[in-house]
Amino acid sequence: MRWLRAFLPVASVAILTVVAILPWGLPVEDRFVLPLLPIVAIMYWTLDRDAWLPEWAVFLAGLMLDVLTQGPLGYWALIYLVAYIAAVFVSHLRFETALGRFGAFAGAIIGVTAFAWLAASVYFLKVLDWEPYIRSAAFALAAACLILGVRAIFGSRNESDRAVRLTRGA
Amino acid sequence: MARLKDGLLFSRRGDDAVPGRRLRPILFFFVFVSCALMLLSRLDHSILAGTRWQIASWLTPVLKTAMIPVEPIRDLGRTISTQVALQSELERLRQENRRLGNWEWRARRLETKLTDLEALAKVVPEQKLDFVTSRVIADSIGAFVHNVTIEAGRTRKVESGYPVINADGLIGRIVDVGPDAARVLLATDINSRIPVVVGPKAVRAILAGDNSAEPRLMYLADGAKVSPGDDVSTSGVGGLFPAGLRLGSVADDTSSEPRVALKADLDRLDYVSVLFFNDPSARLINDPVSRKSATDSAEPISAEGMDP
Repeated sequence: MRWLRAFLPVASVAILTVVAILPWGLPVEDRFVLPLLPIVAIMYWTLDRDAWLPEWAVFLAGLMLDVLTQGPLGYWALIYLVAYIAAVFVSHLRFETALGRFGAFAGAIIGVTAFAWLAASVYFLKVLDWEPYIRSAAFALAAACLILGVRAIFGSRNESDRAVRLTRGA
Repeated sequence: MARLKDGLLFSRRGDDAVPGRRLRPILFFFVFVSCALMLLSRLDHSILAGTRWQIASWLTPVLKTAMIPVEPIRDLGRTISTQVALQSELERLRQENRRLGNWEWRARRLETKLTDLEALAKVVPEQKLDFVTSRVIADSIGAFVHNVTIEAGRTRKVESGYPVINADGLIGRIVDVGPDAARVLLATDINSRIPVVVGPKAVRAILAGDNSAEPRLMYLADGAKVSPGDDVSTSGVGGLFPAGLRLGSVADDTSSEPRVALKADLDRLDYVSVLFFNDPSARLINDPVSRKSATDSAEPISAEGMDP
């Protein structure tokens, strides 16, 4: 299953990036939800230490979104990299419970969304409407909740399959 | 190897150090590149625009392929939302049908009258517009831009500047054309400016997008009265769009500045038509015969004017 962990992170981020561009018929105010989905994937895989998600893949995913949406070049690339940095910081924190882990994950998503709003406001040199960002963050949190829930179910089932970690002392 | 690099192989159980990824210098390089690209975008660098559209054109086959599984999902969503709103929609359609019945009778009478008058005045018939209909393969409606990518490009004789409509009226115009794809700048985009006429008195204005769902009316003449519900259509001024393309009506909320509720649902664009409309006055300017006759007629006047 190691090849899956090497292939799946990059593939999932790339697929979600393409999904974010396709015309789904969502209302204008809810369109910001779609580009946040790759962020959830980036954070999820960054927190999984065994998964292979290089920085260039994150950068290219954002850049691809910028190119295809005709938005400011570098905007989504920057937001995705910030999501990656946030996830790296979260991965160094220690949590005893699943709720704590989810809390950190949720905090990171909210922080990245706030940064996205700030960056867009700076780009336009005016304070943008924050409501679409709040709605999108809520949707991204729901998606994260779903993913972590599924992971909790399947993770506990596959616990015995995982490689043994060598530790010194006992 | 990754574990060896991260120094986790001999981590002590109960150690304070929690295993995790590290931030590598290349990450900050990418952050710097992203910021630099944003700055160049802000400065509207011409090289970026050309390269970006070229790359987007190359990725068109990817988007076309990705659209294959999307369409059934989108159709399903539409079917569900239609079923949910069916009862209220039926009632609305009944009322509309009743109202339109009267209008049809009036329209037929006016049409007959207009045909007679046109024949009497020997009016030059309007330019018949050719068009091509294409599927929307990508949309980018967000905080920054409101545009869609369509499947028709230069091979289908689509050119930059052509108006784009759907069954509900004008939706925007072509701004970038590739061999097999074109980008449509929607009427709601911040860069969109459309000359329009408003209401029964044909008040002239400019419909300006601001990335919100309802674009605003700018440059209304002093004292011009615009009421909610007034129809808004293209004026044809400037030759960018043909006159009389329907856009929508003045929105109910006119508290601060008049806005227009577009007839077309820009959130759900499936198929759109590109009108092969070229500015007639541009053709006049480029025509060598008309240019020569204009020069000939201008010369004696200037000569008379110059000689005392």
